[in-house]
Amino acid sequence: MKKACAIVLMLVLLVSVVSAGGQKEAGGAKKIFMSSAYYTAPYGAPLQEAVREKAKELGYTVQIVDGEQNADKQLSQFKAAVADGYDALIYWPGDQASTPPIVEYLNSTGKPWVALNTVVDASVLDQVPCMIASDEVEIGRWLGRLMIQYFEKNPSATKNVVYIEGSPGSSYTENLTIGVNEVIKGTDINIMNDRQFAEYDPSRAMAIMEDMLTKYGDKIELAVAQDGGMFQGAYSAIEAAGYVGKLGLLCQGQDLIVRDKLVAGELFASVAQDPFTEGSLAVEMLDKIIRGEKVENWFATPTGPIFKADIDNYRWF
Amino acid sequence: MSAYVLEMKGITKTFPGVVALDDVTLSVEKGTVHALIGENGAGKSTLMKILNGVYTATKGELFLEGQPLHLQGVRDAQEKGISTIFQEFNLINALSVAENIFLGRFEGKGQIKWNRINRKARELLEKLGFNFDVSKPVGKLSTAEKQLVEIAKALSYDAKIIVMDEPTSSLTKKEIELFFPIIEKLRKGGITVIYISHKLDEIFHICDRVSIMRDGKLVGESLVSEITRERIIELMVGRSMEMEYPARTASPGEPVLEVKNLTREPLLHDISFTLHKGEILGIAGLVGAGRTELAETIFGAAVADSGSIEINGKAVSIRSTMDGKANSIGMVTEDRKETGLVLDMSVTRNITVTKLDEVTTGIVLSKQKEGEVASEYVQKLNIKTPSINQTLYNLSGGNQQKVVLSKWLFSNVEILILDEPTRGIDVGAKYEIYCLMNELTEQGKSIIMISSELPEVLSMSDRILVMHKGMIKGELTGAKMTADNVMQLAID
Amino acid sequence: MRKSTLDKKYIITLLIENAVTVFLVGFVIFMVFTKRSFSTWDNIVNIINESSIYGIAACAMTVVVISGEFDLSSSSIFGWSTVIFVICINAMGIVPAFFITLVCGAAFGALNGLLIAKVKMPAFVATLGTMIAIKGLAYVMTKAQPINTNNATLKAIGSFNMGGISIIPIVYLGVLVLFIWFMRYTKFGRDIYATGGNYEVARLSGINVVFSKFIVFTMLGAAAALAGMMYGVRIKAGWAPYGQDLALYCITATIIGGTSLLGGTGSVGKTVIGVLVLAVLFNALTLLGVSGSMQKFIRGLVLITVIMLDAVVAKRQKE
Repeated sequence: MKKACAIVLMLVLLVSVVSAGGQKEAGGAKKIFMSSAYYTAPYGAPLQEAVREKAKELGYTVQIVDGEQNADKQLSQFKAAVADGYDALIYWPGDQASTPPIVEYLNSTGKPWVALNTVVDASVLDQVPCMIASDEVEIGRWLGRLMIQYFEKNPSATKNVVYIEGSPGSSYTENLTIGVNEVIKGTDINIMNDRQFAEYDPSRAMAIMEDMLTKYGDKIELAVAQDGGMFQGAYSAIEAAGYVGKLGLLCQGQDLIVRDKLVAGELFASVAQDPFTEGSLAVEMLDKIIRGEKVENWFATPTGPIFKADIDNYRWF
Repeated sequence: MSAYVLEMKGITKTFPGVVALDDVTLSVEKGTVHALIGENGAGKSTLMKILNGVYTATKGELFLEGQPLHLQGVRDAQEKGISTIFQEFNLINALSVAENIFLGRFEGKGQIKWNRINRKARELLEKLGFNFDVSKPVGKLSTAEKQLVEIAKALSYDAKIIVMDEPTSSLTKKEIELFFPIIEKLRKGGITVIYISHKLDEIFHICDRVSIMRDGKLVGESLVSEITRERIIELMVGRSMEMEYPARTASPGEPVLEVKNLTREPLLHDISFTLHKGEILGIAGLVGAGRTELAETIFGAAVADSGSIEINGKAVSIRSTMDGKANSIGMVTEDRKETGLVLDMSVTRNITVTKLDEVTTGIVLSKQKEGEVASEYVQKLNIKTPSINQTLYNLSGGNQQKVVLSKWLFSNVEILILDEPTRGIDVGAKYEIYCLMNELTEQGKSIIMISSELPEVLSMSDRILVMHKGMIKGELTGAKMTADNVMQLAID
Repeated sequence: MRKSTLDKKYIITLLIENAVTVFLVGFVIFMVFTKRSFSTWDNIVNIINESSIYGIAACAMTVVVISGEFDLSSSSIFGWSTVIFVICINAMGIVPAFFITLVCGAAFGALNGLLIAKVKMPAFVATLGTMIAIKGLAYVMTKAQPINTNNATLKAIGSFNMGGISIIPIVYLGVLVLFIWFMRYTKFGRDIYATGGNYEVARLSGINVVFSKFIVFTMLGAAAALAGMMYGVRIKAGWAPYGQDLALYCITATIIGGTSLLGGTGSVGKTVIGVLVLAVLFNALTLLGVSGSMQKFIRGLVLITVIMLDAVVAKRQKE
């Protein structure tokens, strides 16, 4: 029995390797290779989808692999891809600090390449042919501005805010918070319990929100989440505690849940960071570099507030 | 219709190389308490394992109330009315009393009817004259109460026969006094009890008949009222001892090991004795008398609460097996498979494991030296193995035991403790091991031999200590070293 | 081995017993024929360089598994080491940084060893605890920020290159030889086998079982620190989450190599095969254009298959 199982498994393995490998052997077209540090993150899926769409549109084949936020792994992936003769590369780094060796390596290959989403370390920023990223601090500033705007509509409030952040040390989390603090400094907005990290995990966000509700109850006037996933978690906690409508909500992102809650009027506003635009911009820029055109060293993805009235102007995922 | 509730006719059971039971016929009358007595290894437990379905007899037939009986395992035996209460209870501590009694037989489809189960459990206990909370987890009960739960479980199967294996061995005196009336109740209820015990007093107190076994045979049967204590002992031990044992060749010299007032609560109390150079000191006693515990404490596998050990006149502190080894003490454990050998390591590695320094040059192990050592012992002890790199799984018991002995011979200890050195090995290999013991003592090494086989203790020891309930109850020397004397001291 | 003729049954047994190696060889042959880029020197060097960092820790993990235990906290020790290594390089230079990091790693390992060998905590609980604690500590050290370094010596070491082979595989080879020697030719190694094979037997043979268990964790701590520093050499940065998958990767490589989780058997040499299988598979899947999600599925499948085969072999050997 065990032996039979082992043999069947072996066969499945072989077939899956062969078939998975075989299907991508399209001839002629130029090949793009992308290593994505956030392959499985909610934001990763639509971005990668946009990359694929745009590449197809421009006549490229593309392979995207999971870098698992491991810089060493990403370096190996790029080396393998170069050895295999890929024509152009897209790099989505996991964190800032580990980027210099990879940027140096990518430049040494002589291949066209672009970096995406996570801004590389300042020391090598000028060596990147094209950095496509949203201005994270600006997103943070928008969050801050929206907080102020919310409380302007509710002048009686004492301005207590629960602010749920992503992962400590990740540039995205830190930059957003820098932006937020820049704007709300000097106002009487009070971020409760200092820094709360949910590590982009909806269930963690839910637990944090539950705890905060238990502790402060209706003293909380506004809940802010750094992305749509964590907003979903926090919302579940608020819903379960029966606080929907009793406190304001604010988040960042273009997840479907965000749209639904905007439509329902429960969410005050969201801040745009469009993975679709970002993904297709990356391929467009890469295409320009391949064709020898000059591109800007930095290309910011547009951002700004989304209110209920604006939802049709954005793509949701 | 037969007068007997149970008949076992012409039961023979052979294991590869051993005849465990040889044509045993046992008949038990309904509603009696029938004692089964014999030395360790006499075949009592094998016989009972056939009765409760663990083993099938090689030859012979079983009849329950006159009907032929074929058993397919313990559960089948239980359902047919034969329950066994082992020394180690088969109870799950985390589950309640009622759950334990009805484990695997819960009523109700999908949902368990706890009320009914609890009520039934309560009724069973009341039948035995007890009344306690059946929803209590068994782990919180005393030993005596656990035993009650086992009996209640047997009753729940409508047991006709209940086999009790040393039921009082872990009970206190007070608990035993409460236990006998329960047996009385069972007998009055028409239930037959087969009572296995070493304790002659108990047998004379509560049993109707007694069957005595020795060497896999039934050697006597009688009404308890018609037999004396002395006669039972005689039947238990009486056998010829020639030719199985080589004559002792070495004679003891000056003391090497002195144990003074050694105590390890609650297992050992105030033990003092002396071991001489070139001596084989036999330690006899029943299972659970504290013999193995004593050996462990001397070797350092367990730590004493108080008392002292002197080696060659110098006080030593032995708090770990490493201390034991450093003081030139070695111990061959009772269970070679569990605690004596690493079965999936090779013969070589098992032998050299105690003294790798010896086969090390600088800090590098010499495979060549190791191989030489292993080959030497394989030859010297006549270990039958295809190669010294063979793992031990496929070696016979006797050869495995020789590997264990080699391990300690190689580490060249002066004092060797052998716990049941010949258990489960064939006669030929036994003889070889006895000769080896003689040889070692001739070389001036000293041996402490723990054995449950009386003839072995009597024939191979220069002196015998008899242990009972964690104490040394007596010391026998010279002409006083007889089976009767040992047994008198070993049992209550 | 007595039979010289083509005994079919014997060959089948041999193939099954070395299933992992057979799989590796078969897979490599398959790759060589289907993908020209696979067998280029650049790619081979890439595989070697990539497998070396975790390979260093996998050697020590194998020793821990042989002793009958395992260690989850090695991931965190790795991450911690990247952090402390970079901090110390920036503050004191590379030589003190090397020794401080190594000592720290060994100390964390020793803490694990103490909890498991002496206090007798189950390895799962103890190393789960230290895993979380050490990672937390690493976060605290840098206020959760990743940090990097511009140290010239580190860059020089990082750019050392011998026909494409960097310094890391050389260190790996050194560690490997050291561990193989340690386990085969020293008394301590043998004591570890006996302790893992049967703890009671080892104890009753007068072996210092507590020390055996203690030392394996200490060695793993040091090896994880060394691996962390190699990561630093390659990436020139430090951050607590680096190497998050290290412990599971090492345990996987150990199992794939054929060391039993029950302890007492196996060898460090076998784990090299396990590490290679993982590295070749990972590289090949990327070359074959398999997407990230599919890669995960296939890697899981490989693990299950190998363990299944292992069970088959174990059954055969018993019969």
